[in-house]
Amino acid sequence: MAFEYIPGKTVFHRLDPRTKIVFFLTTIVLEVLWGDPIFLSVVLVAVLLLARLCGVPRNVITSFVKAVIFFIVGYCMLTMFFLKPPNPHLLFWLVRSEWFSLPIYVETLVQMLGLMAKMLGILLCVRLLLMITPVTDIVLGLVKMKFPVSFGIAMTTTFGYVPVLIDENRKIGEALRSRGWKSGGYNVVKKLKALLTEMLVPAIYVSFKRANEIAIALESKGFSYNISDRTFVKELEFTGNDYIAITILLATCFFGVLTSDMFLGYGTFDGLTLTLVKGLLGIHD
Amino acid sequence: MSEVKVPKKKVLLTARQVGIIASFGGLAFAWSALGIQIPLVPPYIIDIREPLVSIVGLASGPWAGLITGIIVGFPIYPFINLPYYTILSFGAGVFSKKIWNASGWKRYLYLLVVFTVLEAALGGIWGSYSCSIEFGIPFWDMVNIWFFTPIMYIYIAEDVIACALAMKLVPSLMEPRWLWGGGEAPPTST
Amino acid sequence: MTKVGMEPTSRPSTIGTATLDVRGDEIVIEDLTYSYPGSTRPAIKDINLRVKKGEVLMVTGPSGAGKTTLCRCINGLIPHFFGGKMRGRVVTHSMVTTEYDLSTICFFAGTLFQDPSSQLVCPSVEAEISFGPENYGVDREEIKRRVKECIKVARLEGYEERSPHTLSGGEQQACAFAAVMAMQPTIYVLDEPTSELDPLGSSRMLSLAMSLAKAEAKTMVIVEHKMEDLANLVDRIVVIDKGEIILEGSPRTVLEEGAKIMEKIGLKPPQVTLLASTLKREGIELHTLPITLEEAVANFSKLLSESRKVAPSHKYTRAIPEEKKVIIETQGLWHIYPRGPTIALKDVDLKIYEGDFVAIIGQNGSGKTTLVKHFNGLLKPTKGKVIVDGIDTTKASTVDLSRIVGYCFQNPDHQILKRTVREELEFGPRNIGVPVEEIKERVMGAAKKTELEHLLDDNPFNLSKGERQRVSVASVLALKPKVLIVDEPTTGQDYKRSKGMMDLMRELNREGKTIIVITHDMNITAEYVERVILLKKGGILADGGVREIYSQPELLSETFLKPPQITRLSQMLEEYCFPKDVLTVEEMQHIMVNVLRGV
Repeated sequence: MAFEYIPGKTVFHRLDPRTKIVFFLTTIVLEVLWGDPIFLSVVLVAVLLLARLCGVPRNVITSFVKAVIFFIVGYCMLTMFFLKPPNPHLLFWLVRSEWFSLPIYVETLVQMLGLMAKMLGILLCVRLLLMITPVTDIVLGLVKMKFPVSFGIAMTTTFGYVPVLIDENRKIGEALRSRGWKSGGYNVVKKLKALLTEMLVPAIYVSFKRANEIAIALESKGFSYNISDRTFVKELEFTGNDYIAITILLATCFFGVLTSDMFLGYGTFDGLTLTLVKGLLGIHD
Repeated sequence: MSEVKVPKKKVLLTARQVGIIASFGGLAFAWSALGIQIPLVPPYIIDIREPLVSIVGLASGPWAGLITGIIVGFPIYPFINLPYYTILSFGAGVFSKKIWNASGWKRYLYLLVVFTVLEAALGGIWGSYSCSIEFGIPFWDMVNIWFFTPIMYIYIAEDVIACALAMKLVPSLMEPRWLWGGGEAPPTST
Repeated sequence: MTKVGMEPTSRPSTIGTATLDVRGDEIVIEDLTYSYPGSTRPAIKDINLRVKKGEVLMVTGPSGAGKTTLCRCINGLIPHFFGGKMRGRVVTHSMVTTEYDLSTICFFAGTLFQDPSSQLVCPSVEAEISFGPENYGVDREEIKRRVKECIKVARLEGYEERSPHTLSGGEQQACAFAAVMAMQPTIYVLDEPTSELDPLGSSRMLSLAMSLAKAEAKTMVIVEHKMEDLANLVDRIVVIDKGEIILEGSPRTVLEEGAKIMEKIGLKPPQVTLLASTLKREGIELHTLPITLEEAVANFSKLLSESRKVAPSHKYTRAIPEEKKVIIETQGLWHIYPRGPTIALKDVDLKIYEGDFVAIIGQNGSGKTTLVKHFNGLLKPTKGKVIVDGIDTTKASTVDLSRIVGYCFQNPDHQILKRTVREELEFGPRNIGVPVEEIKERVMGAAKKTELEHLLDDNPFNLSKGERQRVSVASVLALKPKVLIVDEPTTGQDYKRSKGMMDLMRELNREGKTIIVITHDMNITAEYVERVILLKKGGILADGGVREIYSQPELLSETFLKPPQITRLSQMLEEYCFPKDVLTVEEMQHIMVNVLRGV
């Protein structure tokens, strides 16, 4: 999961990072409040569209989706065992035996679809935020919103170091393989042991050394001189586009709250889609 | 220099703490990027983020733990509920001095207790609660999965083992010198 | 909004109760002795040193001598970051380092470290260069101006938004240097800035540093081994050994009077200087001791024209190669990395024979590492074939091939993972299924070869860098491979360690192992290897005996490589019929003596 900032000149790239943070928060709010597949699919499609408008290449999106789909489907399949909707309507039996039965309800299916759209939506949104905003800008936006400065620098330094560490760990993996090492096969216990002893031990030593080097580099550049009052070269200013974007996002949030469980209830698990599906299948409560 | 104004400093994190965060936090990302993890039952995987985040909390205190949890947890949301790593690392930090000052077997006992409580609370209570809100899975079912399957115990084990290893291998790194007001006290070993 | 209220407007000579007699010197070190925490032995002892404003000082010495410790004392990291016991005092820019805040001292003494990647802390080049001034509260517009200027000086235009870690080693170091420049320190401390770089990166870095020193009369302290490149550029040289200063003076004085001492402690003076001083011992004296190639050419030309002597024509006969078995073969090898996509190797046809001692040379990015990674299966060909000891690598795993081809990585810390040296050496044979009884035997054998028997129960992470390198070689030797690939064994090492490493390689080669060395160290290659494969942009530019290749400087210059200084000297004395393929100082000495004594 590399965080590659893809430089671009679209109107979205040029938005203030604080606006982008509000966008991210809005998406999270909607995803948390809503459970309805149709509503969540709209959010998902909106995020995908935004990604394409920002110039994110199609193959990047598809490869990302391919990487996460296994986990999403797996998670949702697992939840199938545990979802207990009130007043369920049976669609069919997936497993029916003396010892174990797994009924598939209409409500469960709808809820699962909603879950999948939700998870994919959140993941894509996080990825998109990192793709159209350089980390330094995100940190600057956070600092302007009263986030502690040293926390911000910790963020930029960590993200700055990830490529180095990926490279280094790849080399470590190659060095291990060059000495005949196999990564433990499918045995979970063996793999866990290998992970902890053969990978963690050297990682701790190397990371310790590196932590010192980073600290020395930071100190040599005056990190602790006057951190709460340091200059930030980039200036953040809201433009007309930012105000428009924030208004739209806040309105969307309001809509989200309105259609959530607390008020109208269309966006919840047993909201719009379920009503439509029940209508289609001729199920009446 | 007749008068050098060294400005009054309000330091939340020292360079050393930032170094530890960047080094171990970055490693967590690097290993995920390289696919180094062990899938259990999806979505539960054993990966190195949790032990590393615990090590950072233990080594550099609750504030460093807080930001590490955010940095490491945020990009993989919703697989990891955001407060999970944050509170885990923060909690490890809060108790780090108590753990460090204990000697011999007591130290490992305290480690075990602290992480058991943290994992139980985070996974068992907070995790189950947030799953029920966000994903509609009944609260008590999630609690049952957490406590009655090996998952929690595996997570506790990996946290405890990783922290114990780190304390044995690199004690100068793991000595907690953090201060509640921010920054660090000077090292005790001269 | 400049918060930089630290510029001294006047220079009072008293601070507190102590009287500082700095006499306008930028750095004053008085009776300094320092030990790291937990160490009984001092890292540096009784150091007394003064550096004038605008002076360029070179500090050199064998590994572990205390050079880095000295740098850390100058910029305040000792005692503020490292703690430890310090006696005596260090005054940097009129500030006693124990009395001032670390960040204040670092404002005046900017430091460049050895490893480029560990000192780059920001996600983009622009952010990196502005990081320092931002921390010091420099005015926004001023920072923007400085960043623009520094990018121009460091020749990094176009890279502003890129992550510094995607740059080449030389560019990274230039970026780190630009980051230091942007803080506009009065003192520059450069701790082995070129040791991890290839020759191109190295020369880029040094020319950047030197032009800055000259243009702005900055005080500079450079720790370096590469005397050939710096001897005539610095004002003064200080040689440190075992924590003490043993030689000090102008470059000429130090090299003239101290060449023998330097050799004894494991330092290599410039080859032309070494030649001149050994000739002096034979009774052949030059007008002045040359410390650069140009001086040597001028002096020797004068001597030769005065004596009207020329070298007898001769040609080193190339030994006729006996029928040897091919151990590694590539046929039409292409490798394309999907990212980019980048063509790393283009249609490479190569045969490595059993018992060869080969160097693969070329600039970074020429495909050296990509090529050798095919030999043990770490990489598979995109097109073409690689056959190792009769096995097609696409049909074998790295585990299988690791029995035949051992790979020693450049950084030993990437290979070390066990808690004792013994376990480390056992790791490889265990993985490939060697029976337990035989493992013990192999471990002892490998330990003996690398002189590690007394360290078998030690923790490899606590050993010195040189010892760790030997551990990583031993752990590969325990696999008993037929072929040994060594990646950059001398980069970042001083001469003594490099020689030790290469002597081991030579011994292993004499025992029948095929040795493949990846390097850009031309001096080492000249002394040890028999065959050189020159790569350029993924293709083989030349493949032949080391003399054959080195006698063609135009060929080498296509990849920005230069033959050793002594070879170039001989080539520039062509009019006196000196051969073009002299490889070592001893050879040149022999020829020179024969010519001048008329034998």
